[in-house]
Amino acid sequence: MEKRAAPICAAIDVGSNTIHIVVARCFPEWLEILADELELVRIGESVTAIGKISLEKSRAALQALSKYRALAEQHGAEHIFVVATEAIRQASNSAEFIAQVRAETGLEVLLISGEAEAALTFFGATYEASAHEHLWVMDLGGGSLELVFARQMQIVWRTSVPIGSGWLHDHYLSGNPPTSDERETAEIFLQTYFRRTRIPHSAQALIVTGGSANSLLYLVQRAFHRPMENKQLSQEDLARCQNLLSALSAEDIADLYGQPQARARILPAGALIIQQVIKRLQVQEIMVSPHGIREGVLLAYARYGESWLEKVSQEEQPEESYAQTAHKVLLDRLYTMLTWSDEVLKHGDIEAIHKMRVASRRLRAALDAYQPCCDPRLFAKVYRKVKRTADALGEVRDTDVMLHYLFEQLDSLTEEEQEGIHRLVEYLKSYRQEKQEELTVFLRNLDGEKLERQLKASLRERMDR
Amino acid sequence: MARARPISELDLRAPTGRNARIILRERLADMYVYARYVADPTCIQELHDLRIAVKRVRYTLEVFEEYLPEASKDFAEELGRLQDELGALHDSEVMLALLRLLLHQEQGEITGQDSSSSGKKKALLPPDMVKSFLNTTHVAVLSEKEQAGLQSFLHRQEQRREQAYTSFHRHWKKLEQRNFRERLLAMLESK
Repeated sequence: MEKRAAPICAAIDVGSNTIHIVVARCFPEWLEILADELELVRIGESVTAIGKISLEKSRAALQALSKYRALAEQHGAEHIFVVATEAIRQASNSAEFIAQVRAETGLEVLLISGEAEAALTFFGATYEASAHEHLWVMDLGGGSLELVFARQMQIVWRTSVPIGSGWLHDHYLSGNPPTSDERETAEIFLQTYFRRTRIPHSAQALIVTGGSANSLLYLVQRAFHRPMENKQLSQEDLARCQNLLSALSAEDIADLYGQPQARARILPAGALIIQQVIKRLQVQEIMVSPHGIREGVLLAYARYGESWLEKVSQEEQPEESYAQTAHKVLLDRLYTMLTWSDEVLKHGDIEAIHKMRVASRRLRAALDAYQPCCDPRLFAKVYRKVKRTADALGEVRDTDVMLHYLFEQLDSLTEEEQEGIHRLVEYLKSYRQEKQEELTVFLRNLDGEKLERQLKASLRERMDR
Repeated sequence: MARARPISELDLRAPTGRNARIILRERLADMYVYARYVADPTCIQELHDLRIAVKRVRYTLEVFEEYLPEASKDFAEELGRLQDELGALHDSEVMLALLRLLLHQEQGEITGQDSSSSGKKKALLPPDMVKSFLNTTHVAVLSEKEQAGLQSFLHRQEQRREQAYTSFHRHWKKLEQRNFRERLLAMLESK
């Protein structure tokens, strides 16, 4: 395509941590970047805290978007594409937010799916990279991480994990700097989570994109005097970053190494996630790409024209067979249930018990649906164990529900009734205590890895027949 | 919730959506076996079994959601509402059983069992709960005021149970009028 004929476009990504714009002259295989700016608005912070985009975050976002619209127009952009990802997907008031953006800036926000996000990020992160036979690409955002596996530069597998640097910071690493206890808890959480994440492929190369990876690279270049053209980060580099980030406050990191303060706050979380992913994927180092979803949007537009999002979203695999989905669904649901086990054991709180019980029910529903894909003898063992887990959780949960109902009624009852109910509550609480203790013993003895092995063997044996 | 009835004639190598439709038709047929008990509020066990069967259809729709038409979500939601109503009915039964246990009413109810027209008996309260309550001297130490208060609360619960049954029954009738079953089967026929 002639340079003159290539359109100038802008792509804005409204993410959990940042609002980021790239303006470029767009060619199908490359981009001539004219502007690249970002603002750390941290919309995800309010979504984590209150489930929606707060008024304050909404104002900050609108301000950034108006500014970026003007920037795009200054460069003569023909189109301005605005895509929104995980934080907006999760926010209960996303539709309201999108309408407000439209009304106040004239920009149309496209709320894209996790799959489209993964595909666009892959386009962006790899367009300058050399071709690899097998390749991982990870986009580490504030609210989620998208992991893609590609064979001969074609995506063959992808997953979206609802853990990002902002999320981990808000849930586990809010100290400044995070304490060693906080880091240890976050590390155990990530190890447990990733151990149970299904990774069906293997590759030696991992490209990481997103704000955290780029800031860590910058930190290494500044703090350890690495040449600017070096885009690799090893496990050792990340360990050194962690030492630095646990010794200095975010303000010191910002002052000494030229990082925005808001970014410096979430950097320990970003470093920890990358370290754990490297371990899980068993790669030696990562290559950091400064490009991501925005460049992906611009390349997709240059390749497919007006129907770019449709094309990207349509890149679907042929429908999987019943046996293939059995493997995926059963293991995913088993891992989800087991992930809650640690939380129940650690805190024993009502909500964690409820969540684990729901997960156990979902697993049982999947076991019922995929029973024909399993060897009957091994299946029976797995089913029994899952049923016992659900029953142990159910006895505590059902008592919680009864107690909740009785407490709700109290105010509307007569004094006489209240006295009787207080006695009933007393008995139920003591019964609940007994059941909570039994549940703790049961979960401590629940061998998740053995259950996983049995389920996998059950699926394998049936397939081999 | 017992294990679901196994279904033969499934081809493991066939697309997931095809098998999902076969499973759902069977689960729906299982659910409608209990339709004849819906008009009788005394069929406690059968209404409980219906709740399990409804839950099973709903969960199956959710498990296979991505291999079914978009409309499957509406059917799952409708079944979710039905399940909630049957759940409220069941919760009332459990609370009544618990109150009767505590008040040491009729001998037959001390085990927290319900009667059913099919002759099956199923405990409404977990056996451990019954044991735990009976092993203590709770009943003996209830003061007169507490007993009277619980007795009065039990009457409220009986009313709550009536209301729960009425809501469920009205909803079921509406679904019948709207040909819910036929529409769900038609959805399964579509791509």
